Amino acid sequence: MRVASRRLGNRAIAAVEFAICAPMLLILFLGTIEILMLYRTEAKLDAFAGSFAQMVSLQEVATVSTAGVTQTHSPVPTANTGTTPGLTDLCAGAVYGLQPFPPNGLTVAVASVTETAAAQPASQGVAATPALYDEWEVDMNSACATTGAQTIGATGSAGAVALATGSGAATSMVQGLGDNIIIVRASLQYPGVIGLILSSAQTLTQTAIARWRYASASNVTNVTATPAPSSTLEFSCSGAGCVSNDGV
Amino acid sequence: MVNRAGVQKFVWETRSITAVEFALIGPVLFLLLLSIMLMGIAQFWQLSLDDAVRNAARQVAIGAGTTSAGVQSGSGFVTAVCDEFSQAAPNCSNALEYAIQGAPTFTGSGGITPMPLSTAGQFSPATTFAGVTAGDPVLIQVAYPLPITIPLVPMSLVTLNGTPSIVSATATVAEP
Repeated sequence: MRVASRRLGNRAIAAVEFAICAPMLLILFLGTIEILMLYRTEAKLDAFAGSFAQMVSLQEVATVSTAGVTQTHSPVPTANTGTTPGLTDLCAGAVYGLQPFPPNGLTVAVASVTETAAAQPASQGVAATPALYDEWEVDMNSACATTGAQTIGATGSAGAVALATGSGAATSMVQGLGDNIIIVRASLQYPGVIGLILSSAQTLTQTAIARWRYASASNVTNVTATPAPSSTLEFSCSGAGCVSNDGV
Repeated sequence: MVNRAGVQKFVWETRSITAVEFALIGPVLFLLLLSIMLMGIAQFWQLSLDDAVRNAARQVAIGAGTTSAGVQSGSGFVTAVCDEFSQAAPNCSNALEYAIQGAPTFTGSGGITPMPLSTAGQFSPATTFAGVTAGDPVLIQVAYPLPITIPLVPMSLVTLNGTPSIVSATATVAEP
């Protein structure tokens, strides 16, 4: 420094000072972009999960009859039914709402948990267990195509049921016969924009909960016939009774 | 003629040299600082707009205001958004562009095609309000061009979305 000042006198003092400050300013600038972008992505993901859950909760599903089991609870089909939007369509709509961001790296799981009749006779095809939760879960990728990956909880829809019912009645979100919740969990692998501040990819996750608009005691599963044993559809039965499957 | 002695004198003159150097470096410095400030303001507007659009979209979805003056029209929608957003951002009701489209399904034939946003951050046409029917999916897109620009700084960087407009979109289903 003394050598430099001897050589340059008062020259280039501001330039040298700027050279010292510039890297810090640049980091401030890039870091501002990075953090705002992360926050923005998180907010968009939250809005995505919320609007998806709300849209699913508004779908009225006609009576579905599979393997002798007639039910009017909320298994919104994956594909469209005529002009009634299915899950894939609603997911695509929610992705429209992400604009102008692309949905790259997005995975979304949507599950429905309904409390069915407390003690239906086993002969009717439903286990005679109080507080039986009937559920489905569908997992989708960024293109809204269904995948096998389960992202609500560790073990598929069992995780959704655990989330819906909590560890005890006080925390349960399903409070009575016919009550329902719809859970949407959206995850996004966020790669970072610059990689300066966030050196590793972050996984952002947002969960949204809605209640099926048509949930009521009269809309729960109505069993009209005994399903075939080892049915691969909504229920499967064994000698010990019938349990609901994780299926759509 | 160039006054060689004068040039030499200027080159080796050391009075006010800091001021001269600052005059050279200052603009770069201020450009950077102003950009950071504008980015913060833009994100404030972004959040305000997101919130205002979400509230207005909710009113569209629940069918609030069924007269032409209500939310079920383009002008009513702008009023609903700007009632909230104009407290934060200037010139809302004139500058706001929107595309509100409803259809029986989002995808497939007869579905909704999201209105593309030009690189200038504009919709074409600038305003659309069509097809909102009870029980149908609705896509709501809104663009608000930044009212402030900084020369030499790309506004697409400031808004963080690649266009010089603040953009908000939300998908919903009109209540049956």
